[in-house]
Amino acid sequence: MDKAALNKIIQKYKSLKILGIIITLGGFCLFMFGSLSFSSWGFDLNSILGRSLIAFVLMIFGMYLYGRGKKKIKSEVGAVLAKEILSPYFEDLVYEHNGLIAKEEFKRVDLHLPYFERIISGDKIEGRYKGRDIMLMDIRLTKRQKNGKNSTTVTVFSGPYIRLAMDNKVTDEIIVCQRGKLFDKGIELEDVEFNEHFNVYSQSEHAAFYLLTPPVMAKIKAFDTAAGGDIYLNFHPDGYLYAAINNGLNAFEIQMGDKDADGIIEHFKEDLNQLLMIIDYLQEL
Amino acid sequence: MEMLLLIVVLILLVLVLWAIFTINKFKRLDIKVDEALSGIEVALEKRYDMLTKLLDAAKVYITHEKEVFNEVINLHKGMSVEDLKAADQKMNNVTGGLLALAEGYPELRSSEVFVSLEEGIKDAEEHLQAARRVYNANVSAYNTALAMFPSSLLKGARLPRDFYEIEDHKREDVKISI
Repeated sequence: MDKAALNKIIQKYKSLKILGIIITLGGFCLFMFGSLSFSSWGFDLNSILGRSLIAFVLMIFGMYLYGRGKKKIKSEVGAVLAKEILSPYFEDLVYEHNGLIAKEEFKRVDLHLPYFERIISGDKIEGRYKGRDIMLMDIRLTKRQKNGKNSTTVTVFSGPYIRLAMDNKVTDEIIVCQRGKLFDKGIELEDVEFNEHFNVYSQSEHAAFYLLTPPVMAKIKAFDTAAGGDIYLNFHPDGYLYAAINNGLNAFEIQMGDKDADGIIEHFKEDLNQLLMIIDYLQEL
Repeated sequence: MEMLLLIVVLILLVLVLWAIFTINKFKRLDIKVDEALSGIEVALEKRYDMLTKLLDAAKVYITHEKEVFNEVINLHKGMSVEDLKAADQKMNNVTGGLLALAEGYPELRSSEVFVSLEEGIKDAEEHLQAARRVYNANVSAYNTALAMFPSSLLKGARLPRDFYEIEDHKREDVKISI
């Protein structure tokens, strides 16, 4: 699809979004300040109830239009552009902008992530990168938190989740995650700085030492500095390295400032560069 | 008076519990050191097996040498750290010597068996290195626990354990003949 056609679609759905905002605001103004009289129509809209009802319907409809516009831009423009940008780097690419991961499947691999109740995922990318099988997606983990009588939803993790095929198989699961509780040390390696930053867990101490050689520990420390957030790694006996990075990256999302296809491409390329940097670090491990 | 007695009993109880915990900790760490040492034994045995196979494979190609391989490496269960280090050192020397000797036999170097055994030896050495690091990390934890006050008061006759260190300057070129 050429850029002109994409820009046309963007304009169409942007107009829908703007219409949605106007209608929502109109409904809000009606609720707050309206003193209309439609008594000739047989309604007494001067009453608070009548006004509230109309305002509520308008606001719902406006928000629906806005949401629809946003969703359509993402599915008809975002997905197309993301696929186009990704395809030179990934072989056998499959991209799903609404890609999901089941909670059970996600929990099968322990990453020692913070406690969560709900998982929201998207932008699932599957394929081969530099000859290795890969799957990556954006995830957001949330939980309910009580504040007195009320409870609110808080995000405990937000960032990319990656499954990358490893060259060497490990015999036991080895988990490397950001250092948490003071007394929960796991396996202590000989690198003091590494131990200060990370906890290592494995059923086999030998397997952990075999995998986490001094050069690998140095690479993990470098990755931690570059990743921009807490890192969680699981070297799994199924032949994959699972990684989650809590850096808030939500790739391939169209922002308010993205005016046209060129703007979106520019912004998506920045997201891709960040993702490729992370994957390249993981490939080194 | 009763209050004072209660306090003394409580203090004694805390001290007894601490002593039990500390002595058990020494014991636990000691066992971990022994386990790690047996890990080195296992890794050395694996390396020894690979080395023996490599030597057998080499014999097929290196026919001109009449002398037999005369480096004796003893491996048995329950070896001391020093014995293990000596065996480790000998294996290093034999491996290095054999690979150097194989340079003069291109057919041997390119044979599939030799290449795969060489890979096997490399893998066995990596496992041995991991086993050494596990052992040293456990010795470090044990020795630290013994040295720390006030737990050092309860160490009794326990002595710090030796680290497993391969001294590079001891590595010598060994003349091997097959």
